[in-house]
Amino acid sequence: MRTVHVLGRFRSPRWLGLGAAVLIATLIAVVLGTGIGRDPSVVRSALISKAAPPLAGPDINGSIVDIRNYRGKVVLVNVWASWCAACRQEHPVLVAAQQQLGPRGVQLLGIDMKDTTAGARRFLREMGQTWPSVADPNARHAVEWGTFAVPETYVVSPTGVILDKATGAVTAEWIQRHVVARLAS
Amino acid sequence: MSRRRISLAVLLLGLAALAAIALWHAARAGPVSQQERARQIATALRCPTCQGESVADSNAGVALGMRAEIRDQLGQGRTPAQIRDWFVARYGDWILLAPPRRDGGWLIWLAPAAAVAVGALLAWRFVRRRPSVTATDVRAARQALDAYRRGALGLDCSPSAEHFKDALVALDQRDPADGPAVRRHALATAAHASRAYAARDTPARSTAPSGGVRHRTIWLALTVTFLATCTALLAVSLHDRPAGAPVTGNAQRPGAAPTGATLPSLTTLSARAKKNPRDVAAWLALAHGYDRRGNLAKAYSAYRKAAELAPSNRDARLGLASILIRGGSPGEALPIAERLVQENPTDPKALLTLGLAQRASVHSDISRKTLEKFLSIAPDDPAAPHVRQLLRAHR
Repeated sequence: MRTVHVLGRFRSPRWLGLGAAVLIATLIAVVLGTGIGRDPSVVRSALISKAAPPLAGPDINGSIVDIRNYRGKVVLVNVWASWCAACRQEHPVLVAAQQQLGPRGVQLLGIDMKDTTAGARRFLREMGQTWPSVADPNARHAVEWGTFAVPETYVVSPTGVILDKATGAVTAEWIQRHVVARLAS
Repeated sequence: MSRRRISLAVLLLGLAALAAIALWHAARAGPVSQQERARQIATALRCPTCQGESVADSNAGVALGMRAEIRDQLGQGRTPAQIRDWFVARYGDWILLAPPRRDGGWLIWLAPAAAVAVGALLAWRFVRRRPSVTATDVRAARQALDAYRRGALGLDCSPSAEHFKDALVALDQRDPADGPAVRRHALATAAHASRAYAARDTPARSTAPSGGVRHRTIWLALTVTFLATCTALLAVSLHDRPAGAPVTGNAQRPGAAPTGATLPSLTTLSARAKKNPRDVAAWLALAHGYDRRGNLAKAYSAYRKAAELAPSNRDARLGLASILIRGGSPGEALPIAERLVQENPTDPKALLTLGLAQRASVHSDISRKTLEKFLSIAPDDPAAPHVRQLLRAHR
């Protein structure tokens, strides 16, 4: 008899309403809690594990650059521009990467996004760059690669699959973790 | 009153009909120019570099590239849906300003409608909960009115009695020219007051089956659960952040490049060094500048100048040894690094430089010991992960 009474009380709309309120409160807490640790402006690239888009075009001197010529190497596609301050910061890291990892099968390629020829020439003269960059004055190549902003760097496998993407300036530690670790395999 | 109601209802229906017709007309796809179609697609896409701007409104470089891409693809004859899918394949669902309905996106569209429905339900229940007046109350009110007119109304001094008396006075003084609705309203008010007066001594009974104390306990339990869940999740997402790191955003890895730091230009630095050729600090700054930009040759000569001016300067000798190692002459760096470690056996930078110099020359076993000593002294050094990787690779 008592059990029926208790059940009866719990079946009332008031208890159902409270149960629903607890559920909603927990859901809200979970959504807030998991979102709090994330940077909302950093979105994971949709191209990871997909085939790399084509990248072919003239550099600022007119010679044709094509990513297909570097099949078999791990290619780091770096989207940069001469007007971008963070690109200056990361440039020494890229230079060191090309120097040290070049013999181990890594090739750097640049996409010079929304830049002028004069600006790009000045940047390259000052900072030094030992790898080719495709000129992209209309940002078409950048959009093809799903670029959000400069600088960004993509890691492309020797078979032409995008493995990883760095948004913002790359650090030596990032290169260590995402590129060198893959060279061993 | 009913005529007013009818005219109000007609007005509302007419407005609703007008709105429906306008919406239907706007939704019909009429012939639009290519430019207009491109603009329509662009307004539905989010600009990747901006905060909440559409591609149509933004002037960022990437947005201009996207607009050019949209124009191109429309020219090739692709449909707006195909173009949107092309962008989603490269940027993810995030690039659409209106969240898509698949994969749980329908929840976002459903939630506001559900919230309105729940609110309406709660409001209706609240309104319905008012107890309506019964015939007994009306009879009691009429009797009280008669007693009041005879002057034989005996009420106590409670606030409900005062309210009752005011209602009776209003009922008595109403104008015969008042409409039936006014009469009914006055009677209803008096009936309500009569009921309240009759019940003035009984304690207020809540309509909830559970008592007030239990109600409070449940709210307390709810609040505690909510706060506990939030705290737990906060702790989980924060536990691997180094001390001093900001609470939100991606956790900064130690040794990450400081964003926003401006590098002094090389022209300023070299001008400074040329103006003060005996200033060690100026040469060191210039050397650092060249070093960070990867110009090893110029950095080497600047470090040499600084070391000549101040042979005991640690930074100059460290820089020199580091350049020699990276430039491919570790044998020359070895004596410099050895002397540095001799002078200060627990200096992590000196140990690191010595270890790398030894490793690049023939002393590979000795280098392992040196590098392990470096790791034990400075495990959080920015170069530590690289060193660990080196040691692992050559096990």
